[in-house]
Amino acid sequence: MFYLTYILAELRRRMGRAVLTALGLGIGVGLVVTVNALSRGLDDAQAAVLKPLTGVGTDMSVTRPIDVGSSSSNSNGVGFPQLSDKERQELEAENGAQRFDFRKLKPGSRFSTDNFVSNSQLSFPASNVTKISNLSGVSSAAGGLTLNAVHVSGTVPKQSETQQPGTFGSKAGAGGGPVIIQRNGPRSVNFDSITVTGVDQHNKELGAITPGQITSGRYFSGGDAREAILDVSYAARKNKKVGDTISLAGKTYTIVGLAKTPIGGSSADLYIKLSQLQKAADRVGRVNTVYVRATSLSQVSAVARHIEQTIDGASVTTAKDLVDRISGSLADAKNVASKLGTALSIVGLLAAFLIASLLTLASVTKRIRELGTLKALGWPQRLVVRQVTGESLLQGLLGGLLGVLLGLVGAELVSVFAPSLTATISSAASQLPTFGPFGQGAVTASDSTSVTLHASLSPTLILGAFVLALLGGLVAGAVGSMRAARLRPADALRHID
Amino acid sequence: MTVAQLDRRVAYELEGVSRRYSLGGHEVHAIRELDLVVEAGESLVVVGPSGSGKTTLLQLLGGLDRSTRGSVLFEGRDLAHMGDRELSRLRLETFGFVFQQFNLIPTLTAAQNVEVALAPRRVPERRATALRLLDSVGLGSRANHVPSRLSGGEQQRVAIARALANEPHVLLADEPTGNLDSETGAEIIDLLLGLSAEGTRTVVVVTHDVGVAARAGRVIRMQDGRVLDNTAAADLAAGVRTGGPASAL
Repeated sequence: MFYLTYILAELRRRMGRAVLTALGLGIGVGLVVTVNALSRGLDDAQAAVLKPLTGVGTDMSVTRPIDVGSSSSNSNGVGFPQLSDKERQELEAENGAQRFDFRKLKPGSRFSTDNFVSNSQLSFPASNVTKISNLSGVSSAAGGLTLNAVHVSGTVPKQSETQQPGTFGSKAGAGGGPVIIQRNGPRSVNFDSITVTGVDQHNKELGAITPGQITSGRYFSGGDAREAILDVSYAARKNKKVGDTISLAGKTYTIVGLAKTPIGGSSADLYIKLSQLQKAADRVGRVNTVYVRATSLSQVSAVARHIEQTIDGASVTTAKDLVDRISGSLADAKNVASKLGTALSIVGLLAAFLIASLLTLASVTKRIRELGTLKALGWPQRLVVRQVTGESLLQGLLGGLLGVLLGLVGAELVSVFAPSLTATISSAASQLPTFGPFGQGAVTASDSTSVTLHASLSPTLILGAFVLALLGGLVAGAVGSMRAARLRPADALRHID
Repeated sequence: MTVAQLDRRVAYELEGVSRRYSLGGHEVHAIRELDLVVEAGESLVVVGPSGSGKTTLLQLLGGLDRSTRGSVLFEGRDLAHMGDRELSRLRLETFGFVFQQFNLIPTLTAAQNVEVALAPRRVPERRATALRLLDSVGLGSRANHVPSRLSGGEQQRVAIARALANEPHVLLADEPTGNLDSETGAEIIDLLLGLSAEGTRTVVVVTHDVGVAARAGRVIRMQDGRVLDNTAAADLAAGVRTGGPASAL
């Protein structure tokens, strides 16, 4: 008790120095608290962005992307990447050697045709879904099929011919899909392209679209009725609403719901039942995406590796991969927080520790005669050290309180200003070159969303701040104590204040 | 009287003690080949001009410093061979110090300053002991005053109370009247020298005040690190009257 009285009395005497030390530590710790709260807030914002995908329980999605080599089409290394023969054949098999041959039609007659093509990924047997769901660490799996539905209609030109053009990525139209070369009357042919995803409606909680994402209307019914769910932005573009109908490959579907496309997921304009799309696209029994839920988060990496080993050419995208694909101001802020923020925290803390250490050292130097007197009176070295360290620790405690207070204020300021950040997540397809027919783009290049930033504090963070401040006090105390411990009583008593 | 009883009467025995240290690149001989015996219960006054080695001698006696040559035996134990921890313990349990500048801790009250000397020991009634000691030096009513609110004489009384807190065998006072007026200084000297009156406590006072020297049991006069005179106080008093060695102080 006497020691505490002595410590408190000393801090009172050197109030200015004690406050300055505590303030230095407080600012350093406050900076750490604010930066960490900001970083946690950014994590929360990122989680909010990814929630539409991760929130429905999909831990990973499995696709079979086209393997584009790094070789170029010319010797200078400039140009488009080349498909290997194997991949070209796979793509041809996927999309079929569909050609629209005007020579078979009578010039001047009207025509209309629908084709389903895959731009960047190949399909595989739906039996792989079962195979994946049986893997260790997999809780459930559901198949999906995403295709580009291309509708071509118009009037056959007076003069037309087909030829084998050198479309990119292939030798002669080997990319698959319809290839039309017109010499006359290009204005008489209309093209319409729409992205369609087939959803396994029996597995509601896992797939490209889930009931949680329906913004109006409802999810698919369990029967065979032709039902469609439209992406909200596509519906707005086409002025469609729930209850309207939409045509696809000559069939009419009733729009039963509108959904917000999951950012980062495989977005589409139109969602229909998987079996109906497989039938319409002549891909019965095939899927090109498998949505997988792991038994636990810790299993995700192992399951992803297992799937890639089990299915030839399979590519597994996890939520972590999505995080890596986030760009926009959210990603910029994350980068700044993780790099500059961390550097700022470290520098701030080091500066605070240094200031505290120097002030403690100065305090010890100023008190040499006093500490020498204690030694002369028979205080053992450990008690002198304990006295100096105790004072520093108490300053550290004050610094911790101050730091947490400053951190709370900093976090509150962030929340008050609540800056809005945008997050753009490039879709998996956009990472590959597009093979769309007639130079059309890929399914979706990227999705953007905005999210409000709130700094987030936790008891662990506050406790950590206290520990840091105490550590600062301890470091300062150790520096001062070393000086005090080395004092020889006779020298200390000779010291002139 | 047996030999053992004779030995117990010797508090200090210094033989060929030298202490030198570097100061600004120069070697300073603070003490040179000093021999001295101090009996237990004796009151000894060390006088001499500034730089004569008085304070260094006191620090050697108090285990605050170590000799560079020779031996400083305290109750038969050589202080030069003791470790820091052992010396701390000796100071805590056996020695009491009074300093010229009082060396009180400015943030603590008079009573707390006395408690400082008791804090490392597990004394059950520390506060009560401190108050009793302050009473004994006439400062019972000033126990809760911080040093800045006490006069110089009062501060030195607090320092004496602190020095007595551990009931020391030896009381070592370095220029205890140096910052006091002559009247107060005389009171303090009376108080200090009175502490050896029962013959159970050795008191060593370093001073340049000749008046103080006259009241001690024995006086040694130092110059340039050496003992010039080692005289019984009665002889010294006579010397002063006859213009003998003491008159040169």
